[in-house]
Amino acid sequence: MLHTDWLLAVVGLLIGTYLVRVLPFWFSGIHRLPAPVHRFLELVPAAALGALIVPDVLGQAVPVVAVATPVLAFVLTLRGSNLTVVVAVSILTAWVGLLVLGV
Amino acid sequence: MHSFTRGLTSALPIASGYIPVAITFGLVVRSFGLTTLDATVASLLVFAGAAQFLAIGMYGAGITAGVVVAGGAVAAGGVAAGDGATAGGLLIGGWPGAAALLLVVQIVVAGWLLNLRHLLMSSVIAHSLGTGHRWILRSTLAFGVTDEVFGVAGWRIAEGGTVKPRFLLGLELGAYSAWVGGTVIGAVSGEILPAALRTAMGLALYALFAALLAGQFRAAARQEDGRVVPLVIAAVAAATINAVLREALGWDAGAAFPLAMIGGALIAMGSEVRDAAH
Repeated sequence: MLHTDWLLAVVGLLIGTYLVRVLPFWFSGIHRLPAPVHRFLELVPAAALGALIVPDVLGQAVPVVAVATPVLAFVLTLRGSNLTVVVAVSILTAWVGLLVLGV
Repeated sequence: MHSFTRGLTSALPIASGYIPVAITFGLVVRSFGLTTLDATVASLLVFAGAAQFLAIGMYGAGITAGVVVAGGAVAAGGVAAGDGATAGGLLIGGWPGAAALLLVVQIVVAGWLLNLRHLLMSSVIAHSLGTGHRWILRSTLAFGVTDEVFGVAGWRIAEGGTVKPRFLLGLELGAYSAWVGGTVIGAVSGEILPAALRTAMGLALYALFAALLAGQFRAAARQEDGRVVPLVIAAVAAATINAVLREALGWDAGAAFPLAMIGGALIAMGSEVRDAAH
């Protein structure tokens, strides 16, 4: 079964995402974007990730675990671990942390 | 080897990265009281990991705030709204109220901003494919342009080749199957996992964001003209703006997020302009 509000969000995301992906396939001129626009689009993902983490991560149950897990994931990835390993280690760390500190 | 098959095999490294992340997505969706079908439809239709995680994160915040229905039932007594005994039909909750609709609009706008970067990736791939392919083929290939698909295709283009439509089709189909399949696995297994593990999966979402951010830094550091500092500035500035808007000014997530994202990127650009002037 589907939740109506979630489905609406998904369809909206589909339209927005697909349009962005398909426009250059329909109109070939788009591949020469002005340099500042190009650079802005390169910087957006890092900005988005920063805003996805803070402040929400601070408001979770058992803040110590909630903060320690992303820090660990960040360091592991910087040191070259692949994403699969990092996700697995993060889930395990958070789980053990929650069990030990009790929720 | 047929270029479609070559595309499929080139998707293997992408698939091994997608499956655990997609499993996490399925688990997180279920942990907010949505159904396996909710999770699957999202992956089938959107096929954009970061935007899907953003969407479920904002939706989860909406549940906490009491804006949307699904979590209301969860909070009331651990019964997922999707159990369906009372809901009966395909859709649950009827037409959403004004607050829920506002949240939907905020999710769509934030996701769209986040995915604007695909404009760059599609441009590179479309340019390499060239014109002269049928409209329906180009329109289909456009659906599968994700960061990782671009990573593989862009690498081949950088090696000096063009990308053939059939290669791209195989590559995208392999990645897409892994993404949708992983989501189903995660959503289904979410029903049988203990509560503490489900909470841990929810926390792992932030770990995933942190890992993706670290990955951005690493990728920039590896490039010849790569600049890591602007990326750090963008992330820190966006996080700061978001924290101030949300915590100090009491904005909700959907309104604060797009502003924080745009503000962070602009501040980083400003820092580059200032450095260039010195």
